Amino acid sequence: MTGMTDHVDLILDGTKIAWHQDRIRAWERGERIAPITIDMALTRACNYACHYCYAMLQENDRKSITRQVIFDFLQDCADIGVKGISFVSDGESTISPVFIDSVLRGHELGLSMAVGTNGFVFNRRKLEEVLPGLTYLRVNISAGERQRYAEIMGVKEHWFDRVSQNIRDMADIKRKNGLPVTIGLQMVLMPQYADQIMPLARLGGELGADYLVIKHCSDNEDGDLGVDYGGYEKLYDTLHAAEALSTDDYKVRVKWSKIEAHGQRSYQRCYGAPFLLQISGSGLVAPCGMLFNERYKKFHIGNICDTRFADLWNSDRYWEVMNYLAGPQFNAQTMCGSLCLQHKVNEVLDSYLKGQVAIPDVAGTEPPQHLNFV
Amino acid sequence: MTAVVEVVHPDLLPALHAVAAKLAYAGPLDARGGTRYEVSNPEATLAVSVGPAPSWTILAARHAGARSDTLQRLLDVLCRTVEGLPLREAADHGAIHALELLRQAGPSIAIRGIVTVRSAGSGFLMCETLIRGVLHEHERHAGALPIENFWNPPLSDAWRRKDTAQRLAALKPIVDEFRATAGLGENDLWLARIERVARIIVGFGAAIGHDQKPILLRKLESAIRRKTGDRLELYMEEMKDDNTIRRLQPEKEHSP
Repeated sequence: MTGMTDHVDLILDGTKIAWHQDRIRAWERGERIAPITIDMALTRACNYACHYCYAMLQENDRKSITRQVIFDFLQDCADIGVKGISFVSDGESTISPVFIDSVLRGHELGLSMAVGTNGFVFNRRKLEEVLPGLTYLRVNISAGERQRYAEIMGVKEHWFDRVSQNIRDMADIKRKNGLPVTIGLQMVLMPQYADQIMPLARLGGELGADYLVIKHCSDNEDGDLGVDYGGYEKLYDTLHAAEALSTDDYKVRVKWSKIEAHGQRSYQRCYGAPFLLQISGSGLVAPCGMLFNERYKKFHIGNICDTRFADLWNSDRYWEVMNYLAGPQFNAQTMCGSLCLQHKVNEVLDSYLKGQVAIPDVAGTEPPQHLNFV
Repeated sequence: MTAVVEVVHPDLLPALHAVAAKLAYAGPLDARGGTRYEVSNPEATLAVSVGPAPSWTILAARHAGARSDTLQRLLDVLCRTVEGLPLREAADHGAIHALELLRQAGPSIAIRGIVTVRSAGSGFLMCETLIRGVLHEHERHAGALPIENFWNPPLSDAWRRKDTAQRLAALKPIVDEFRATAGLGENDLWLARIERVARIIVGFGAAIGHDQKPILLRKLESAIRRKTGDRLELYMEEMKDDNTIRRLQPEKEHSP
C-alpha cells in the first residue's frame, strides 16, 4: 500500500507527490528543496475545546504572528518556490486578526491557499471576502447533531446552528459567484463518535458541501489522547454506508488507508518533512506538528517571528534536523506519534528508496485537484 | 538521476580510510553455519550467510573482486554494518547504516540538502544493489519475507541491567565532560530523569537561549550515543497546553 491510489479528481486519501517529480529528483541529488506545501496556523489559540484535539499536545514557546511577520513569510515562500499554504496546524487561524489579509496576500503572490477551521467566526461578508482567495476551505465538524456536537467539540449547542449556516453560505457564495474553491467537511472520528457518522454524512449533503472526509484520530507516541485504534474495525459497515451517500455533487470519503493502518507506520525514516513542512501558530518552524511540543526541542529549527523564513530554510540547522529525521539515528515507529500529516508522502518515498515501488510516471496525465497540497 | 559520480563523496574519504584502514571483511566466507548466498555484478561480489527464521539474521558477510580501492573499503564497511542485522533491515537500510558510520567518523559532508545513498556516491548504490540482491536470492530460496520492518537497534544488556540511579550515574561523566567542553555550568544543563529506559529528560537554566537548546540537545545526544553505544533519546520536559478554553475541560486521563 503506497497511498498513490484513489481518486483522480480529488485525492482525499493519498498523496500527490508523484506530480512533483522535479522536486523528488532534486531532493535525491542532495539539493535544498523548498517545501511543496507548508501547513501552519496563524495562532495557537482556539475558541473550541474538541476532546480529540492534538493541539493539546503541541504547546511550545508562543510568539505572535503579526501582519508583518506573515506577509514577510508569504513573500519568502513565493520567492523560494513553496506552492501551497494551508492554515490548519495547531490553532484556529480564523480568529487571528490577520487571517483574511493573509489568505488574500498569499493568493496575490501566486500561492495556493487553504484553510481548516471550525467555521464559527465567519459570517457571510467575511466569506464573500475570503473564498475567492482559497483553493479549499475545510470545516472541522465531528458531529451531525446539536447536542453531540456540543459534547464532542466542547462548545454550546447553538454554535452548531451558526456553523451549519456558515457552511450553507459557503456553498451558496461558491455557486452564485462561480468560485473554484472546494468546500469540505472533516470528521475526526474516535470510535465513541460512531453514532454521528450517518447524521453528519447526511448533513453534509444537505448543507451543500462538496465532500465529507472521515479520518482517524492521531495520537502521540505515548497514546495520551487514548485513541482506541482497535475500535475502528467494528465501524466499517457504518463507514461504508456513509460513503454510499455520495452523489455526483457530494463525496463522502473515509481515509481507509490510515484507519486500516491501526496507528502503525511501515517505515522508520521520515523523508516527507522537506516536502511538507509544518509551522506552529506560535511561529515555530519544526519539521512536523508532532514535534511542536517543547519536549521535542532538539527538532526545533527557529521561529518566523524572529528570523525570516527564507533564512531559516537556507540554514544548516534546518537541514541538520531534516537529515536527522532521514537517517538511522531516528525511528518514526518509536519516536513519533501515530499517522502524521507526512505519513502518505513518507510511505511513498520510503517504498521508493527501498526499491519496492517506482514513483509513477504521471507525465501527460490530468493532474488532480489541489495539486499544491501534497 | 544523481549528480554524484564519485564512488564515495570526497568528504567521506578520510573517514572511509580511517574506518576501513585494514580490510577485515575481504575474501571468502568461512565455513560457519547458516544459509549462504553470493551475489555478483561487474564491480564486486558480496557473500553472506543468513541464520534461521524468523529474523534471518546475517551471520557473516564478505566481499571480493572490487575493482577499486575505494569500493573495496566501502564494501568492507557495508559488511561490518550488516553483520548481526536481520536480512530485511540490511536490505532496507544497510547502505544507510554504512553511510551513517562514515558520517559519524568524519567531518561534515558538503551536501547542502538531504544526505542519501543517492547523493553520497555511486558506491553506496552499489552496496544497496548487492545487499538487496542477497535478499532476492534468499526470497527465491525461502519464500518472500514480510515487507514490514519493525527492527530497532536493541539496547545493550549492560544498559538494561542498570537501575535508574545506575543509568544516571553512567551518564553523569558524559554530561560533565560535555558541559566542560561547551563552557556550561551545572545550572545551565542537567539530567532531570529517565523515562522508559531510554528517554533521557534534560533541563536547561535560564541563561541558555531558545536558539541554543536544539543544538546542545543534538550534540549531547550524539555524545551519549557514541559513548554508551546505545541509541538513547534526549528530550525536554513536556510543556502543558496553555489554551484557556481547553484548560477548562476536565483533566484528560493520561496513560501511565
